[in-house]
Amino acid sequence: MIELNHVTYTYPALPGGEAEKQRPPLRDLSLRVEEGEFLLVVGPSGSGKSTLLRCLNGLVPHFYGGAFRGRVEVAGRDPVAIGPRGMSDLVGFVFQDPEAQFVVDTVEDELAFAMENLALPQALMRKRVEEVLDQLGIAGLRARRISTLSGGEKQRVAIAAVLTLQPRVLVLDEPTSQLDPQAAEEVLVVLRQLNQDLGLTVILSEHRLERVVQYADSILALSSLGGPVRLGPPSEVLAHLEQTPPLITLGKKLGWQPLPLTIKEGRPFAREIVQRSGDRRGMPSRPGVPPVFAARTVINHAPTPSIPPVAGSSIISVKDLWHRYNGHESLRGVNLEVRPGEFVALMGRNGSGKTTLLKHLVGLLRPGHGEVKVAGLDTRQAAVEEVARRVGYVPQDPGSLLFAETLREELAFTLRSHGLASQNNTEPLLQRLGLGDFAGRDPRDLSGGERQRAALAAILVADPEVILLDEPTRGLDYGQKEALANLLKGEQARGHAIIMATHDVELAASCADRVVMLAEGQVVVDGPTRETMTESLVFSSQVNKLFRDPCFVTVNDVLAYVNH
Amino acid sequence: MAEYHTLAWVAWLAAAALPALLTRNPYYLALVIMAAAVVYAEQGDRSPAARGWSAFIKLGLILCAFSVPANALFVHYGDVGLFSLPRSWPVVGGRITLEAALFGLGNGLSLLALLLVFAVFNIAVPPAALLRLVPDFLHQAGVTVAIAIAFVPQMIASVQEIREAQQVRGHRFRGLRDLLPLFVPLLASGLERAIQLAESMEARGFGNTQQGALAVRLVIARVASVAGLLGLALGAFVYAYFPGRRAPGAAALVVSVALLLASFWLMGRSVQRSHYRRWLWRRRDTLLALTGGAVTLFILALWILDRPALIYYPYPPLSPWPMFRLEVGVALSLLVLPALLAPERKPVVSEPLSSTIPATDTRHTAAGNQPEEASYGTVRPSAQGPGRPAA
Amino acid sequence: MSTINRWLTGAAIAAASLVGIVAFSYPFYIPRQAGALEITSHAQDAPFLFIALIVLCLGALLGDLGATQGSAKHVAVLGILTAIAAALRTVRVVGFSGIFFLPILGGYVFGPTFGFLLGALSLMVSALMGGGVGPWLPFQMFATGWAGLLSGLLPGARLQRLGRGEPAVLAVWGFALGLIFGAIMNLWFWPFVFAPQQSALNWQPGLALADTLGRYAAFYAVTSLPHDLWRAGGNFLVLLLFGRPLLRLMRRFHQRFHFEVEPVGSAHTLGFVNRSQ
Repeated sequence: MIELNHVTYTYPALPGGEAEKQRPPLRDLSLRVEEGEFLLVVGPSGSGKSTLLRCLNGLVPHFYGGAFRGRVEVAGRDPVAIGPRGMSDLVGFVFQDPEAQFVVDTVEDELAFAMENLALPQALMRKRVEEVLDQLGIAGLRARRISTLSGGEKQRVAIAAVLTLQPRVLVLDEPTSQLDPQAAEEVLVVLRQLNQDLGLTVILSEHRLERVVQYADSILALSSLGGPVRLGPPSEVLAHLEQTPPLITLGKKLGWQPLPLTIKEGRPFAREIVQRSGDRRGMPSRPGVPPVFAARTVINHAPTPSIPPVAGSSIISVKDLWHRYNGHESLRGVNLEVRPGEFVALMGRNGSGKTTLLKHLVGLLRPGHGEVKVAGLDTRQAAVEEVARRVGYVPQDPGSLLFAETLREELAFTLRSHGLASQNNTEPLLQRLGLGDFAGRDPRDLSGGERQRAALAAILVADPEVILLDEPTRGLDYGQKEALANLLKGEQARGHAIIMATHDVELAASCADRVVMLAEGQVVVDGPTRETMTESLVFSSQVNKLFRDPCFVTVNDVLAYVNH
Repeated sequence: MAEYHTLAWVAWLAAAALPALLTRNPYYLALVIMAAAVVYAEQGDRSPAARGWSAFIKLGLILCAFSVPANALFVHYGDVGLFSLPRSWPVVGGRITLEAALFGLGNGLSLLALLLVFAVFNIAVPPAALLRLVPDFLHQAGVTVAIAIAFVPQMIASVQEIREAQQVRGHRFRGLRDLLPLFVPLLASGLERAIQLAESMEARGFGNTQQGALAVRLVIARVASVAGLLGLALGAFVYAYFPGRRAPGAAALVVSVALLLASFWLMGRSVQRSHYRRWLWRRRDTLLALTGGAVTLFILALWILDRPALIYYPYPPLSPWPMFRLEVGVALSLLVLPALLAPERKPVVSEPLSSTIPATDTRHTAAGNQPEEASYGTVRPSAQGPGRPAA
Repeated sequence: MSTINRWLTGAAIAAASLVGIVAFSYPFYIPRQAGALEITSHAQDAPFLFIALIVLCLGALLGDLGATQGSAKHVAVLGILTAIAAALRTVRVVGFSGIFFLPILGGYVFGPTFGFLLGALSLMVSALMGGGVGPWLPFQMFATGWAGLLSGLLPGARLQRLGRGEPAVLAVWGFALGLIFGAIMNLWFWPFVFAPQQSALNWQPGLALADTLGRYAAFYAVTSLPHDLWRAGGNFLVLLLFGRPLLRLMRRFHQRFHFEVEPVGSAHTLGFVNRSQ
């Protein structure tokens, strides 16, 4: 179906000069994908996933230029010879950003766009639009304006918009990286259904493996800087990968065979561990009692759930906060106390009020009813600038912050705006954030993870007492996430209070000590990470799902226990 | 308000805008304004454009009110004097005449009528519907405009987001100078999006593939277009500059227009695409289109054959009082038609706020602790009769 | 074929500009008619004739440029810059409206054709979204398109060597364009405004060119000069203060996002050459 033979490709050199990190080349790549296969393409940022996918419909090299060698064949057609337009009825391509791939403003017109371009007759178009709407279960959205859709709906519409040409291959470039877990699930379910019910060949690149690994027939692992490439069945390839989801990492570390890909497959191994340790301690697991519960009595002395001792009074104090916007109450009586040195993960689904709450904490919004006191300032009276001086807020999109020509100037701008002298404390900060070499670079040339850190640096330079982050890990790979988590823990150790709104359960599990969960504008859960994560079905980490025990939340918990 | 097809609205627009452009007769203009105002009121503010227009109309009212005294003060010409200002006052000094005031009134009303008529049209016809009228030869420009319209809300949201992000860094937007941290991220993220949008369009078959015969046809069309434009410039100049001899200019204009139309047709044929939207044409569309067409033709016929019937010019040697012809009045009254045919009032379909939240969310909250399918394993009540509990 | 097409693009723009000049400047050359009272004569046809003319001309130009510059890249960048220009209208800081400087910069960096399209379409979208479609729209579109077009004709490479002087030159240019186009945009309705008699501000057909110009200057100074000065001043400041970073951004993008890609070489070893514009 798809064949790549010794494909080598480099992007054109830029007249401006510096090599760009976002444009990795391909080196002598060969692979074969069978019809009806579900292929998952993985690899760290900068390993050329997007470049490879773009070879399949001719966007590389037709859209980008550059030098191309080797041969690509998709269902008998050569994308390099005929270009993306000629491939459009064979290869459907869905992109990463749900905001930037729609041409017209209503769903139905968007679905028709590709067919209009290929001049299909009207009757056929109408038939196909109906079919695709039903296939993806989005008939209810047909008359909606695209700007009113949620992220998950947008991506499903984007898939629908390429399916109307009835392609034989569906290629998706990290379609869920900008989505929250539920929206991502909606998209992935659709993909699996298309693959299984219609036999559509699906080629998907994705960062968060834990969600898709069970759907894939095979995995193609690229490594950065043209290292070795692996293609094979999931468990085989995953065994050799460095960055994997917690379940698989754990399986590899403990030598589980065959490597479990889902919680269900991992359960027996987990049970065995708990049982074995029970035996070792001379307490045989009682028949009829689930081993997990039996074990709970034993391992109380294992790493205990703890909140680090916090000194002094609260730095953030929210009392009965209500917020109303356009007749919709987005916050309803929120109470929250945060002390210096605490790391709080703010969780909850989209629209539950997370961002609204963060904006209240930094003074961008003012309480309609209730009281918000931050670092001793009442946000009803204090100016935004005054609050912002004490509270750093890193918005979702670092691109909305960065504007200067160099990172150094970016930091200087923050200091200037806050009326702080531009002391030379920026170098140690940049070193700490791993940006030491980039002070003179244009922030917009940095890669996704570096850009996120640059935005963080632009906020931290004013040395705020509280750091607020809104979805900081969107689009970051495992390595980048881990780096960010370590960095935030470092800031916490320096006495900053951190509140991070996130959907990322694993991240929250690995660095927050406290979880606050919002639903419909109310705090429904507030407690230490371990306890809250165990009690939750949706918001619990993979390891926790595996063991169902508050003692086991991260991979390290288990390893420490096993080695004990 | 019943909905009409875009073309029916275009016919109405032509019929209403033509008298607003051609005549200064206060009676006729008042009729147009009244008709348009009734239709405008009937439209309500259904679109975001409506809010923009209400500001325009206020401006029109102010200009209209300003036009009468301004004209009266600046133009001291006419037979019927109202009063005099001292000659020593610059510009405004002198006799203030009724004629000048009336002329100002005509001007003001004409502007107001034009604004109202276009306001009605803009509100009644959403941009997307208007774009569907774009002929094939303007396809690329049409797509560009469609993209822009689809992205404007996003860009406005971006402006807000960037503003907040910078404000939180301590930045204050006090003056022009402070706009840089707004402009750069806006432009940069916009251009980034443009790359992905272009990829997405190309992957879905957008773009011109003019090769071989099509390319030759395109060159012919373009040559015809250039020739037509040159002819247009020449013809218009000759026509306007030599009022005594209209024929050569008019002939050149006709030939050029024909050339251009041929070029449009050729270009349109070399665009290979089809149209998804089917046009729904109802009886009321026919009615509106026919009425609009008839009024337009009537006004045009008057303009060509019986110009004094439309023209109003208060200054000597003509009478300062406008005249009123019944047939014109009747024709213009017909413009109220779209407001009269309002039998079926559709319920206002606005998208509820909650619909932007994925449907799965509500299920989690609503059915939190209960099994979702309560009827599972039971007999549906309707099968047993109303109200009977299932066993 | 591509040389012919490039040549035709230039010809189309030149011819359309000629139509524009004829249409905009009619108050300066329409003669007085002997004997007849102007008001009932055909002289009154002129304004309507010219509205139709401008509409036709815009159609021809947009169709022509669309057919040759209609790649996905062009259309996407144009569409999004147009959206930004329209969105900037909503940014109200000291009454500044951002509709004008973007076509200047766009034309300057991406070339005259792009500038024309950006200018003309920005106004159209802005009118479609915010209200303001009317007989004045084609004139506004044409005038703003011209601003972008002329900016594209500036010697960019030479100005770039000026370094910090470049934004200053552009700022002066923007100021001048702001005033000139303010004057041009008012021209078409000047004859409508007052009675064709008497006043020193009024248009009269058949006056000597110098006299007409003088009258128009007076009319312009009274009616719209303050407003236009304000707007031109805004252009000046934006281009002066932000010209350098914005130009840098757009140039970098232009280099990265090449407009045309042409294959070179055989089927198995393909090179793709980027040709900017």
